[in-house]
Amino acid sequence: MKKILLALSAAALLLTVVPPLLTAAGKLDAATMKHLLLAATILWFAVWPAAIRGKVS
Amino acid sequence: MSNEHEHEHAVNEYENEPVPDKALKGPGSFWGMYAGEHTAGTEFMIGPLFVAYGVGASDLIFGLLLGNLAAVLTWRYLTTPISMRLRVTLYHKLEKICGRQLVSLYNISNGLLFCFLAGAMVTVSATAVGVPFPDVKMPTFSDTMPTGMAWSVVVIVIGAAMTAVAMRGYAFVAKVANFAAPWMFLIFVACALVTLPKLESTELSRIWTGVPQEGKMKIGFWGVFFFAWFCNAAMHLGMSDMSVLRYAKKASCGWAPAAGMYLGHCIAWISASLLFAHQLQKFGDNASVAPGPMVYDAVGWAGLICVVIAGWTTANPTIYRAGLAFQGVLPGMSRNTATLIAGIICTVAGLFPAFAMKLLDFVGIYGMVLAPVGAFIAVDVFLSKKFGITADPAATRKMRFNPAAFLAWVVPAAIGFWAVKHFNMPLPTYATLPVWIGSGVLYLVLSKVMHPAARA
Repeated sequence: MKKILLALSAAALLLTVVPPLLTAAGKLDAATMKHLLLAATILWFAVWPAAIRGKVS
Repeated sequence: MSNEHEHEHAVNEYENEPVPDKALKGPGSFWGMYAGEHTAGTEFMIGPLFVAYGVGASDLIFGLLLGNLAAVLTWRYLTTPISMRLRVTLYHKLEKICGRQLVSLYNISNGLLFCFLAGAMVTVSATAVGVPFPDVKMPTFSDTMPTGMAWSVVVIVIGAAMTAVAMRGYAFVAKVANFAAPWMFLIFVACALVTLPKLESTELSRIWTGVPQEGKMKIGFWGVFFFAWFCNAAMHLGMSDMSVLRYAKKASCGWAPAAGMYLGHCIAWISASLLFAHQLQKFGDNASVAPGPMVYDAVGWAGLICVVIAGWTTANPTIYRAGLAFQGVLPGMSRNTATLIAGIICTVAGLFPAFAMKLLDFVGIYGMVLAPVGAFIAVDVFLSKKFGITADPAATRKMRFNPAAFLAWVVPAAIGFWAVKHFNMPLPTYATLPVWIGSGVLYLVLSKVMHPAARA
């Protein structure tokens, strides 16, 4: 379970970086990029706290 | 800029005794904390301010690289060795040097400055919360007063919410700050990535033009260098980070602030300044400096969430710490009452955009007022034996008020303020180091006269 959560967290971080890169390269429109960033934000806060539970005091 | 929430639980342990060996922490505990605490809401203001002050591209890049290096070296070779040698909090050591009454004066100054700093963070958060409400008039560089009723309502609601959370303690906010740190940093990077192709020209000299905005003084390499070095002067030169670094197991823990300096104070500032450079190229003199609309334009709702979380996670512990400082002055006051007073002062300060719009000046003043006490500690630790002065004079001589420390604190700081005004220095951070050195030398001389060491 922990590995899945960590993988999802990594996916959220990738989703935070890749869409802006694609937009900068002209391969993704700004509106979609903004939606994907919001999705990445929700995913990050949904999985990362659970993934590191016990590590953060 | 910074807050120190992550280790607050630790700060409140071993308040009146040295940290025992079993409680020491390795470098890993410090790197993440410093990276998180220096990626704060105020970074969204500092980047644009550099553009407004007409910083040139090479001045910005080299100023940030070297200024942040100087800050890291100060943490590593001054704050960490002293923290490891003493293993007590700043307040504990200060009381032994300055006496209880002078520490109270320090606490009041510290508490008020914390409130104003938190107020700037409330202002930054309000620019994000106000985006969906067209009636909220966003502040500009020239605004010092509240911009209208809608603005005031947003600030009061945010200030009240932050105060309410701070009164309940900040464990939850500290956790959110830890959770958010990596994501928040990447949102800053995303802002930069998205903004770069929107610029009319990506030539560095067209982004950081070197031309200041009307009413601003130009700063160059030294302005950036001194600001990067001394924006956290209260933490390193002023020894406030003794509270954290007293837990350091090894001296190498002192390198950890590099994470905060190069991620937060280098990349985040550059990203934020790109946002404003884009606004300037697009709207000229009508460009908006409010972080909320700029970030929303770049990355949408995720950006707004980032501004609010960055402001909230920084302001909340700052209000809490201000409350603790006030409580230190009046120990009979409950922590809740002290935090409420701090929250009210912070919210009132947040109504006035002056604190956020003049953040570079405010941070400089903050350092100049609080850093000199660190010089007393450095003199006490490294020079007291060599020069034959009493170490911990207030504790040794049972003083409640050490006049030598008072004069060595107030006189150089007053001269520093005068010099900034008289010599028309663009930022108070130009005077931080001379004031710190002046305080140390004056404390040494006055102590030699007033508190020479007893002969064996």
